Amino acid sequence: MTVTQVSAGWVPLAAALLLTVATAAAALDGVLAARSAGRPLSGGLLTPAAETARLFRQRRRTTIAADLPLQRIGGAGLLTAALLMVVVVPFGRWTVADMAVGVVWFNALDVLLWAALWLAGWGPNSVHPLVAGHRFLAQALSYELPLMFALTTPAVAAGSLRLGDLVAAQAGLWFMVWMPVAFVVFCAGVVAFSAWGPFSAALGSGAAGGVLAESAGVDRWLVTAGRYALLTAGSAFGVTAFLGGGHGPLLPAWLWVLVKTSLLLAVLVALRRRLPVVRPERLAVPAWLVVLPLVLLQLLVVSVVVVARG
Amino acid sequence: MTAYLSAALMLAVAVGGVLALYAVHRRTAVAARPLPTLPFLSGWRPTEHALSRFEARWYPLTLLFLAFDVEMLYMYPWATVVAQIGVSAVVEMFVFLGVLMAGVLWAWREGALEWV
Amino acid sequence: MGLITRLAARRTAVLVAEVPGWGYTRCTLEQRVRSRGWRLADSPADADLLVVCGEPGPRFAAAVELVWAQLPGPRSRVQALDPADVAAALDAAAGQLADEATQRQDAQDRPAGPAQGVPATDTSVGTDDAPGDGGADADARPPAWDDPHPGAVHEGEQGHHDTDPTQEHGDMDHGDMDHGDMDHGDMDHGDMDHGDMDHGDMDHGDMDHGDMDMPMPGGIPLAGGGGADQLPDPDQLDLDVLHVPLGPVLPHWPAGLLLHTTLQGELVVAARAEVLEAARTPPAGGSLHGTTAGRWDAAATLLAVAGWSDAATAAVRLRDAALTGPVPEREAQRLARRVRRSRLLRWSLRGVGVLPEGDAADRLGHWLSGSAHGAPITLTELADLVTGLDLATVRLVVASLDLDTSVREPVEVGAA
Repeated sequence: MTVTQVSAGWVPLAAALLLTVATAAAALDGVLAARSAGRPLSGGLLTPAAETARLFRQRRRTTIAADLPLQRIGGAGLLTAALLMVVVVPFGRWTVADMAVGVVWFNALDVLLWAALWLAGWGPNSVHPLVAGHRFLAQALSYELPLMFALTTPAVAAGSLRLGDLVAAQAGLWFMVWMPVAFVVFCAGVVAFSAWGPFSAALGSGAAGGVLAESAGVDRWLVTAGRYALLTAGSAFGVTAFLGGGHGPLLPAWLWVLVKTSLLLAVLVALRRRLPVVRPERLAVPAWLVVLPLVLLQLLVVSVVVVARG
Repeated sequence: MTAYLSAALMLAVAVGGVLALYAVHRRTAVAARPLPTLPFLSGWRPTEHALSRFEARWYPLTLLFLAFDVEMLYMYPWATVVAQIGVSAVVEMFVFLGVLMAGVLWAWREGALEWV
Repeated sequence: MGLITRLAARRTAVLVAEVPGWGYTRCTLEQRVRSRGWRLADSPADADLLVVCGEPGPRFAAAVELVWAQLPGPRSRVQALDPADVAAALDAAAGQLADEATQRQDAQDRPAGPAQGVPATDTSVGTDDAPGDGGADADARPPAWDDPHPGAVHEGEQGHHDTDPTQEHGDMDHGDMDHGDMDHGDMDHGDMDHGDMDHGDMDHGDMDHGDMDMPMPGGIPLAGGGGADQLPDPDQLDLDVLHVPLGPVLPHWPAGLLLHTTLQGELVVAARAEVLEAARTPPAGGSLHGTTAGRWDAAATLLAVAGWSDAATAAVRLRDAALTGPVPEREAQRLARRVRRSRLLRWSLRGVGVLPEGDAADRLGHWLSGSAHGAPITLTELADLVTGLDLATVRLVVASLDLDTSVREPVEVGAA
């Protein structure tokens, strides 16, 4: 399958598509929450609409001597990074930005999230967000390297950093099949940079909401929506890099991308129900001493296979 | 190059969208002006500003991270040529990574992975 | 606008302030909140509705007052003194929140500057001396409040007089240090001559903010060193400490507990605990502690602080069942099994809040299985237990103790 670049005019449509799927993810989370609370599921379905209405009616807050520009940049950074991530992800046969370094582009953006979440915590001049922002950095130190090596693995197998080439290289066999460790580590990385589920220490209710402790109104909406958008963008990238992208029988390629992304996204969203938060200060040892060697081993196996294949 | 044009356009869409949301919020919120407030400290007035010379006890880990992060600069170009260069590329890179992993073990022994 | 208001009402976020002794009222409230499809808020910024369960004493009331001023709005505040009051109170609040005109008027009428509140150390609130006047009376400050050993009064503590927190920004003559400057760069304290100071022989007097002619943006001094409390930094860095009160208005926190902490980074280097009392004797049987419902409530709180909202919700549902009748045995066992099987949770709680009879994970196990255990802990022991831990671990430790603050010391740990 060849991926062709479409005109930049499609960019707003790509953005709209990302936000639509992200909204569906938020609705799914609402449904799961309603089920766990023993409430009618239909009410949970409306959660994104209700929360949006609530936050758009709510007044914004500014704390005293806050670093407002940095706080805003941080708050808007999550959604912006997610939107920029999806430009390189092929939607079936089309992509809006067919970059030769698509994998690096995605990596660079996920590193920007360090700054975004930390700035959102630093900005309000308040202890709880400040401590939570630093906790996110501590967590990032543990998840980022395994994530980077997990990203490299499919690139080695395809011999290219272009996402279209990654998809083409999976015509026979999805990368997930022969690089499962890299796939799992990548998914964990997506959950971690979205500060979601087990990696949501920076937004925990045990820390008065952490980074979000002082945010109200549209400021809070941007961070909340940004997390769903990041999960969505991460899932879409994961589908492209590990789950064969648009490859699949019967259905058109773009529909396969949509179906696979939705399934992976649903799994990541549901993860929040199943796991408690991992404490960043306890994550470092297993991340550096177990996960990192494992993913390097995965990379070695893939490199050897690639060399042996010639 | 047109790929980066699309990316720039997406950035414009994101920034424009965020600004538009702020504008919409001004109209829909009960008050357009944000509420000035002290930070939330369980109901108390802060004794001092939170922005301070904050002790990040995990900073030795950041140095270890940087060592690996710089390594990533080589990793990406390397990934594209493994198949062409063959065995020597794999051996060289993994010897290098092995050296870095030895550094990780040393840092672990020195206690850089635990900070509280 | 009608649609927005109606949709927003579905997700009303409720911040709860529980006065010691009104545990039943708080649980009934949480149950009602859930059955309406509403949710509990994490902070005032997150909240639409503030519910005070019980009658707070003067200091508690002062804290509630400041939190109320920090709700962004639309906002509503109600008080519930009895489980029977809760439904009506929530109905009233829902009405207020939906009243667009009143909410807009409220937003208009709020002062242009931030509500000032009182410092957590100000014990004069409600006394004849200074009835909640904004805590200007620094003399009322207890000696060395940030020291866990009240005997050791720090030299120079009195120096804090200069940092009168009610001082208006405009009154100060720091021409080059206005708000605008504060927002950028100036926080690096480069002009404060910290570099010349040796932490070893620095006492509180030297750190006196006033003497250093420190800028006070918004009438609040900048952070400084912690004197004797400060841990020595291996790299000789000049670090600041922050004085952070935890409680009484804090979700998943024991009713009325006020833990004064001194933070260096995220580490608590000194702590002192006290309990803010109710304005009157709480109703008999208002406390949940020692009951089946109390066990599940404690488990739910610890699970919520550990970041497992789904298991916490399941525990809360069992608690609510226990309030009105027998606990469904199958669900109880299923949750206990699910929690016990979670390696991640055990890994998070292992070694947290170690007391002679076990750690946080052990206590959670006891709550889930309903086995008897209990050991008294004093507030001084609590302060000692949390000193040296990071802020997040402190939250776990406190949640794992299930302190009954409605009785005087010693506070009972766990359900018997």
